[in-house]
Amino acid sequence: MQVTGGETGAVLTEDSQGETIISGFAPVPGTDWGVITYERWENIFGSIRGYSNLLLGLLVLGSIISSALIFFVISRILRPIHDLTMGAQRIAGGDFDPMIVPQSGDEMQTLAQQFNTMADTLKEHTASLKKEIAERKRLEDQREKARKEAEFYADVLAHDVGNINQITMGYLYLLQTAKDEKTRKKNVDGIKKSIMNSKRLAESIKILKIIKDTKIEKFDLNKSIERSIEEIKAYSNKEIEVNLDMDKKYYVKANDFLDRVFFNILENSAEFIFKEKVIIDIKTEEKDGFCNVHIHDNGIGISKEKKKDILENLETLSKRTGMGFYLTKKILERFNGKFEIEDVKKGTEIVVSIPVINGGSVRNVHAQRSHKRNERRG
Amino acid sequence: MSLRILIIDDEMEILTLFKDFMEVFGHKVEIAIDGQSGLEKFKNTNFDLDIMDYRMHGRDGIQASKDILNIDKNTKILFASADSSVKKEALNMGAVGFLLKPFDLGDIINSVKKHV
Repeated sequence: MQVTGGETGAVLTEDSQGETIISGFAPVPGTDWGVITYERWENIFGSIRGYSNLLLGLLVLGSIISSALIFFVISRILRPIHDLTMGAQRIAGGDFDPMIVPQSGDEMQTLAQQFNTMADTLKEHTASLKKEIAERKRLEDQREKARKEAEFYADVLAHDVGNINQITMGYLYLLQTAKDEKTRKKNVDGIKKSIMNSKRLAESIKILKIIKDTKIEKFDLNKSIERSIEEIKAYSNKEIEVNLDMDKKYYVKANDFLDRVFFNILENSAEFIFKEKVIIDIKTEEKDGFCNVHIHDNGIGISKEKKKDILENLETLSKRTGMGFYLTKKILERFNGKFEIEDVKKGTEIVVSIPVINGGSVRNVHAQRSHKRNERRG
Repeated sequence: MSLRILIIDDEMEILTLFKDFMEVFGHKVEIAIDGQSGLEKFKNTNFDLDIMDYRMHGRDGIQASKDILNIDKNTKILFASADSSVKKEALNMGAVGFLLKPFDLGDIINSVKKHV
């Protein structure tokens, strides 16, 4: 209609098949005719759109490659800084191992080397500081141990020396007022015993100080028991009967201080028996590589409370009641032995256990002796 | 005058020494080896005087004295200890006297005369 109306132009429309076409039209001058041409839109712009997409793709690809390249370059630049940061954090956390130094030849390499030097210095300082702290701690522990030891000795001495002095003073008074020779002798004997107790106390303290360093060797346990029995009989003013039942000859790893163990136990028996006659039964047996020496007396026994204190709280107990059991325990510890208090109906039973030397005992040697003496001190 | 006296001390020889000595003066003396057994004896018998050591197993002299005074506040307790640091506490607690070990046996008789 536009063509026949003499117009010239172009329109974007659709053909009979629905395809988008561009159509141009113009009148043929001097006639009623017009010319109309058309071409499919796809034919005109399809290739252009293809190129556009290709360019767009290339642009995106270029951007990605550029970004990766930039990231890579920046990462390379930042890595030493990151490594230094991590290294500094490690040092702050107490790890002074050297970091890897980048061989970049630039300031980063120098800085990393400086960091390593600083870490080495810190490592040395820290090690030295730790050593100093450990040494101070050791010295403090040593001082505390020495303080407690001094306190222990002071308490024990206050108790034991106080008692020894009191006993001596008592006998001295009685000696001064004695009217016959028998009484005088009795009190002189009492004073002698007090002096011996004082000597024994000094020996006990010495033993406590040296026992850890004493040499232990093959030692005749049977003879040690026999010597201790003789000694307690000579020492005590009570009649002491000892029934000795040693199943065989025992050799143990010990030394002369073992005599003191048995003497202390026997002395304890003799002291805490109110009766005139002290009866002590001693029996040996081997069990699990130990020689167990059972020492049973006819005394007043040990209360459950005291037994608990002897076994679990001996140091505190010793401050109050003297060092007899404490010394016994320390000597036995040196010989890898121990003592226990058995539950018995009457009296007290103490069991001393000491490791037996293999092959050191002669079996089937049965000794049963009864020591009956009525010795008075002096 | 004959008195009933309980001596509590953890040293057997001191107990027997004091006992023998005081019995010469006509006193009836019982002995106990620690605070607990002393307390048990005190529950069963009326004593005119308790002679009390300080350092003992279990109850010390102060604790044992407090237990005794709880039973009978009129009980006379005479402390006999080598530890002078407990003198004030002992006297504040109610002890009638304090003998510092070692003392002469004559002192114990003089103290008994003085306080009972």
